[in-house]
Amino acid sequence: MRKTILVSIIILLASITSRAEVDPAIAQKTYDEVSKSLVVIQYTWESELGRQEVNGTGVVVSDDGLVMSTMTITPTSIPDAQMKDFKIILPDDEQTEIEAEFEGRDERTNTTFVKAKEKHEWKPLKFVDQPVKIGQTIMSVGLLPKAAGYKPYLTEANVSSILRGPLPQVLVSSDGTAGVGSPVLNSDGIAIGLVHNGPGFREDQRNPLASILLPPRTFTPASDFMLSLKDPPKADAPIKLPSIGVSNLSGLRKDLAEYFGLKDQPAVQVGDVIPGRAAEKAGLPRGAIIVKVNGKPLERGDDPSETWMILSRQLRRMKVGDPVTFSVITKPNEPPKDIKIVTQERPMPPNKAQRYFAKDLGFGVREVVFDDTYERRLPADAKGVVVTLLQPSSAAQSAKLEPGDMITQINQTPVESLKQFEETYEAFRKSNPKDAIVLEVLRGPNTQIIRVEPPRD
Amino acid sequence: MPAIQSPQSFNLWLKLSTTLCSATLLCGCAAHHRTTTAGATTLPAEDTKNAAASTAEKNVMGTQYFPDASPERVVRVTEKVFPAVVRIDVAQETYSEGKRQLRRGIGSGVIFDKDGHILTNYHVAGRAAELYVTLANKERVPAHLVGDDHWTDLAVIQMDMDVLKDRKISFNYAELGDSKRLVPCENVMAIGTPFGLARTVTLGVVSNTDRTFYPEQQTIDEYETGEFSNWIQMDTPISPGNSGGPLVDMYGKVVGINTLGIRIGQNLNFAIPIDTAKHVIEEILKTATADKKGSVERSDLGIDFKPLQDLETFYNIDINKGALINSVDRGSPADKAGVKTQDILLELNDQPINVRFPEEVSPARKLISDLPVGSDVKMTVRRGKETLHLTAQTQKLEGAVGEEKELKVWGMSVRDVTRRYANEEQLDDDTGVVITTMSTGYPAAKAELQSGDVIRSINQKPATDLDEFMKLYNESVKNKDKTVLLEIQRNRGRNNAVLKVTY
Repeated sequence: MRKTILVSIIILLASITSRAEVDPAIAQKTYDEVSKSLVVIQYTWESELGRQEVNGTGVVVSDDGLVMSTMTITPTSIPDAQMKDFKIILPDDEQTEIEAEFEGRDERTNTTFVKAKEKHEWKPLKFVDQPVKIGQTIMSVGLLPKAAGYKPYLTEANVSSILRGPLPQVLVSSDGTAGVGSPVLNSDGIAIGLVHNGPGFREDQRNPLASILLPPRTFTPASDFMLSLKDPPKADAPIKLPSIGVSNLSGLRKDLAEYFGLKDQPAVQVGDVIPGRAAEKAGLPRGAIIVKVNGKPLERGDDPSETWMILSRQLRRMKVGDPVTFSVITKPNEPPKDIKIVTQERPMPPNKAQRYFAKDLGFGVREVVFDDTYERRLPADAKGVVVTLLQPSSAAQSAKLEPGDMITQINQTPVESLKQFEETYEAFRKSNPKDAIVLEVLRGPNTQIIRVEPPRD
Repeated sequence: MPAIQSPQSFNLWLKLSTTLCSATLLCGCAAHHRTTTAGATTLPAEDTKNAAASTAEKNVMGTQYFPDASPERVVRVTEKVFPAVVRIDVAQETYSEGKRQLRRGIGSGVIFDKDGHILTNYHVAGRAAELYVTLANKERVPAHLVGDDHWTDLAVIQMDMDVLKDRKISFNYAELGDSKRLVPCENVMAIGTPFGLARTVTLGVVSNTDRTFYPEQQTIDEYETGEFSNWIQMDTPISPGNSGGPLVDMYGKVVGINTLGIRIGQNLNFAIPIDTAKHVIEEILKTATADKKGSVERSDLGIDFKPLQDLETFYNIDINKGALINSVDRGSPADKAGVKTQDILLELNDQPINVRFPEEVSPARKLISDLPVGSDVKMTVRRGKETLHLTAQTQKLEGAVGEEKELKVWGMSVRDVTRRYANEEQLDDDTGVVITTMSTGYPAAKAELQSGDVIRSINQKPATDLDEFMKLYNESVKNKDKTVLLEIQRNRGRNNAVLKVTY
C-alpha cells in the first residue's frame, strides 16, 4: 500500500514539476527553507462515542514555537473540550513529537493556532502582505500524508483570478497548490499567502491522497490574516468576537438596489433585529438597508449575495466595545440616516457550551446557548439542555429522543441549568436505577413527552 | 417498521397502475378476459338477508357470528355488489414548476345511492378536475367531484345523471353496512379495478378491526390523513387501482373502503371503516352546493395526546382514566385556556376521556373534532395533585396545506399560509402566502426567490391571505407593473425582493 502511494505521488509530482517556471535553483532553495518551517499538528478528538486522531499541516510563525494552520483542522463543529493531547510533529526522519497546547481558533481570519510546550530551535516563516498579480507564478510547499512520511513537496502555479468573497481567495491555474495549511510563496520564495480551502482531515482520512490527486486551487493572501499574526489567540485569552445582534442579512441584488435608488452601490438588508441586543437598542429597524459602514461604502463581493458576508466578516474583525456607524435607508431614494451601534460580545457558540454525557442511557446534552433560543423563538432566558448525540442502540435512542431536542423538564422538574440537570439525573438514576425517566422536550414547535426506560440487566 | 403505502406511494400506485395496465394489455394477458355479467341487475338482496338471518347465531358474549363464505353466498354477494363498483379515471389538480397541472390516474369506487353518488378515496378523486366513471356494463360516463376530505382519505363524486338519462344507462348501487360489528376472522371481499382490470374480487378475512399506525403521521401529497379513525386490517389482497373500492361483508354490504397495503408485507391491507365514511358522506352531501365543494367541518383545540401506557405510576393516576397531553400548539385554544404539556385531561364537557393505548388516540381526537366549531368546552385537567377546570373555545380545524393558485405571469404557484403551517414552520403569524413551485426563466425564479418563502406584501400593500394576495396580483398584472416589490419572510428574516415583469 505504502509503496503504491509513493509511486503514485512520484508520478503525480513529476507531471506537476515538469512545467516549472521558477528558476530551479530558487525552487530548491525555497523548498529547503520553507520545509524547515512546516510541521504537522496532531490532536485527539475525544467525543462521547470514541476517539479519533486528527492531523493537519501547520506553519511555524514565531521563535517560541507558535504554529498557524486553518480552521479546517479544528472545525467549529468540534467542541473545544473534546480536542485533547495536541502535538507538533516535525517532518524529519525521526518524526519527533513535541508536546503542544491549543491556543484557539481565530474566527476573524479562519485560522487556528497551536503552541509548542517544549523548547526547540524553531525556524519561523515570515509572511509578507504583498499585492498579488494576475499571471504571476507562485509556489507552495506542503507535507505529504503520513503514509509518505510527511515528506515536503513543492508545487508551482500561476495566479488566474482574484476573487472578492467573504474570505478573499486567489484562484490559481490547474496545477493548484499544496494541501490545506501550506504556505504560498512568490517566485522569489517570499511567503505571501496560505492555502485555506481544500480537502480537510475528514477527506484525508478517507483518501490520504485527496490533496495530491485534486490539488486545492485557491489561497488566501497574507493581507487577510496579518491581523492574526499580530494578535494571535492565546489559550488563556481567546479572541472575543463582537456582535451587534442582527441576523438574516442579505445582499441587495441589482433590481432591488435600483428600486431603492442605489444604483451601483452595494447594500445589505437587515432581515431581523434581535430583541434586547445592541442594534435594537441603537434603534436599527428590521428591514433597514445598510449603505455605508463608518462613512465608507460597503465592500463589494463578486456576487451581490456575498456583500452581507463581507460586511459581517468586517464587523467580526472589530473589537468588542468598538462603535460602528451604519448609514441606513428604509424607503426608496431616502437620504441615509446614521445609526451608531456599540458592539457587544458575541453570545456563546454551541461548541463552547458545557456538555454532559448520560452514559448509562446513552445520550449527550449541552447547555442552552443563544442560537437555540433564537431558532426556537423562545425568550433569550429560556432554560433547558439540548440533546447533542445519541449512542446507537441506547435506551435513549429507542425511546425516540432526537438530537436537537431541548429538554425542559426531567421527571416533572423544570431544567434550570446543565449542572442541575446532571445532578437531578444522576441522583434519580442512583436512587431509582430501574425506573424510567420522563423527559419533556421541545422539538420544533411542539413538545413531546419521552419516557426513557433503563436497560434491564 | 414497514413503510406504509403513503404518501408518495398513493401516487405511485396510481401512476404504476396506468403503466402496468397498458403493459398487461400489450402482452395480451387481458385478451378474452370475460368480465362477469355486468349489467345483469337481478339483486338477490332479500335472499341474502334471509340467508343471513338464518345463520345469525350469537355466542355467550352476545357477539353475532358471521355467516361463512360458502360458494353460494360468495356468488350472491358478488352478483349483488359487482354492478355497483366502478372504475374511476381521474385527472387531479397538482402544481409543479409554477403551473397548475393535471395528474392522471385510476382507482375504484362504489355507487351508494340512486342519485349516482360514488364513494372513493381522497387520494383517488380528491382535487379532481376531470372524472370519468366506467360502470359494470362497460359504459363510460363523465362525473364530477361533490366533495372531499383528506383527513379521512375519502371523496364523494357523482355521475352526470343527465348523460345517464340521455343514454338510458342503468346502474345499481350498494348498501352501506355497519363496520362496528365486524369481528376478526370474519370473511370479507375486496372489490375493485386493480391496475384498471375490470372488477376483480379477492376473498379474505378481517385481521384486525382497530388498527392504528400511531405515532407515524401519514400524508397524501402533503395533506394530513388518518388522524381521526383507526383502520380495518384484512388479508384480502389489494393492489394499486383497488383504492376507493368497497370491502364487503358476507351480507353483501359495504363495511370499508380499501385504501392501502403494505407492499413489503404479506397481505397486510387496510380499509377505512364505513362508519367513518358514513359521517363524511353525510357532511359532504349536506354542505355541497352547485359552486362549492362539500366538506367536513371539524373542531380543533390545538392539543395532541400520548398513550398513557406505563406512565400511570409516574403521574400517580388510575389506569384507564384520562389522556396525557403531549403537546399544546402555541396560541391555540388550549394554550389560551391554560392547558400545559403533561396535564392529564380527565373530562371533556363532563365526558370521561381515556387514552391508554395507541388505538385510543384517534377516537380521542375525534371526540374533539366532533365538537361544534366555536363552542366553549369544559376541560377537567389534572396537574400534579391539583384538578383544574378550564374552558377553551374550539376553532375550526385547518390543515397545514392551504389553497393553491398559479401565477402565470410571475411564474410561480403559491399556497395560503394556514395557522397550522405557520405553527409548524414557526412563522411570525399566518399572514401571507407561501411559494410552492416556480418556473425557470420567469420573474420569480429570476429574482432568486425560493420555495418556502412567505410573501407578506405586494408593493407595500399587505397580502393577508390568498384572496387578498390574488387581488393585489391581478391588479398588478392589469396595471402591467414592470417592477413589483415583495416583502418576503425567509427563516426569521424579513427581506425585500423585486420582480422584473415583462408582458
